[in-house]
Amino acid sequence: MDLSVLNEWLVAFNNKATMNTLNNAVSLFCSLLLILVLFTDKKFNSSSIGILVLCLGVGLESIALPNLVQIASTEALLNYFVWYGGWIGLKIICLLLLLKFHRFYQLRVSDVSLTLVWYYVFSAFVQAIDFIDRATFDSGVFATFYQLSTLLLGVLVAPVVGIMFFREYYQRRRQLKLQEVRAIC
Amino acid sequence: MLIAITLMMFAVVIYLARQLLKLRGEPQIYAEVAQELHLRAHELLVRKDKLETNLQMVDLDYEKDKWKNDLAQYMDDFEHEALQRRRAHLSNKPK
Repeated sequence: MDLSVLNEWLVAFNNKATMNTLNNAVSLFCSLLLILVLFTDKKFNSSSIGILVLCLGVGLESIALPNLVQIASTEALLNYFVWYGGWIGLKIICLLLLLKFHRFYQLRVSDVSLTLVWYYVFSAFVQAIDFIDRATFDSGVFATFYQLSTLLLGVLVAPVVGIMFFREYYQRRRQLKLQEVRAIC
Repeated sequence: MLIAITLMMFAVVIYLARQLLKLRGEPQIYAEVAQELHLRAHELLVRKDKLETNLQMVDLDYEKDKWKNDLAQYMDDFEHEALQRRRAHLSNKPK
């Protein structure tokens, strides 16, 4: 399989201005989603906690991104470790927050939070595998895969979570309506 | 060394994810209790059918009373189980 075209496209894509635009767009979308969710749902449930943690994670990422880029631009193994480890650390913080919130409010994990959990696990897995490749063989087999998957995951996770949240919301409303109808009959 | 740290961080991620996945579904004991209640309901229905068809039973009134008592006991257990389940969900204790 010829990956060179994809690789060139990714390299052209990975400049600072594009990254900033993308990051801003994702952050804006997440914040709007959070506001919408807090308006539509009166009760605090697992799904809104998931979206809150997603927003927090995106915010932390956008704070950490310039610093991490600066650190990783120097080519040394320790700097690479800071880059990859920093991302995994952020995922750990997000998962910890998710767990903490669920334990504190005594909730069960819904589909939205589950999607988020899988997203965090998968992105941490990608980071770890690419770092191990760099530290041992430096073959760059996973480099294209890494870039593509982080890009796609980072862009796609917010819309997917939003769609899932509103699907769940309408299902719940329909159930409530059905219950009302049954009570009347 | 750094690889070991990375692997440890990934292990932490897996551990947290498993903790969260544990909070997802119903515990095993719920399924067992639900199955037991289901079996009892089935048995009660069979007994009711027998009572309705087999009219020349020896002690019909006694059997009917016994059936009613068993039904009341069953409904009581069912309600108790539902309440307990609700409480367990509200206070999400790990089993």
